[in-house]
Amino acid sequence: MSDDSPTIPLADVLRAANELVSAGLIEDYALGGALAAIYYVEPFTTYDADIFFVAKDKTLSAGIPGIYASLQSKGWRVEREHLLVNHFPVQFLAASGLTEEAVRNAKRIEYEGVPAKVFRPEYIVAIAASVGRHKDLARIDQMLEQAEIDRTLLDDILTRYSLDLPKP
Amino acid sequence: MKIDMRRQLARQPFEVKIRKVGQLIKLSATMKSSRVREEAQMTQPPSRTPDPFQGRVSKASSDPVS
Repeated sequence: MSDDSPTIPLADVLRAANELVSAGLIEDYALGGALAAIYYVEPFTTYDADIFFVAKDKTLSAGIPGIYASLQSKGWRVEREHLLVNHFPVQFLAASGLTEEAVRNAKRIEYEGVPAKVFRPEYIVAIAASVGRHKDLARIDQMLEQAEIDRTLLDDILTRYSLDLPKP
Repeated sequence: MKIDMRRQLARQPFEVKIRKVGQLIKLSATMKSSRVREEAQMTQPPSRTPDPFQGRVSKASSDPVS
């Protein structure tokens, strides 16, 4: 494993998302999913990046055709529900409700010099509780064990969205 | 792995962690492809390549007198 070339072109993904905001195709975005969790916990294997965006276009399509067209013009390829950048799959997901609140309250970061936003840990836990698959429950355990969680904020989110954490 | 070790890994810079995830992906792909290769070798039918020595009679054995 001497090859240092990045398998995950995250800087390219975030740069492209910033360009979508500048171009007025989306209102805001944040990194969510497993890569957002990895911001707070130990690294683990994941095979895609989830970008949650607040749509400018409030119609049913959420402006996705425009987003795809813009990214394809920059050389991204479409493969099923993913867009591929340097062979790495990225999903653009229209945020609503809890995920929209997570985007709006996301933490500002810089990744390899690219300004970006990443979900706060309390929202990652709440979203995992709302999805509730086996891997989401494992993610909650991992986040509670390794990340610094604001319990007051987490309890507030869980209460407002009628969510419960799994019993230990 | 011990909890404090995992917490130590969690505190690494995001860029470093993302590079490690990339390495995990590569490692997983390498292991998968070598497993597939091994499985293919195990399920491969016996070789149909003719034995180059089959049917050939050496001079020594065909002519024991000489």
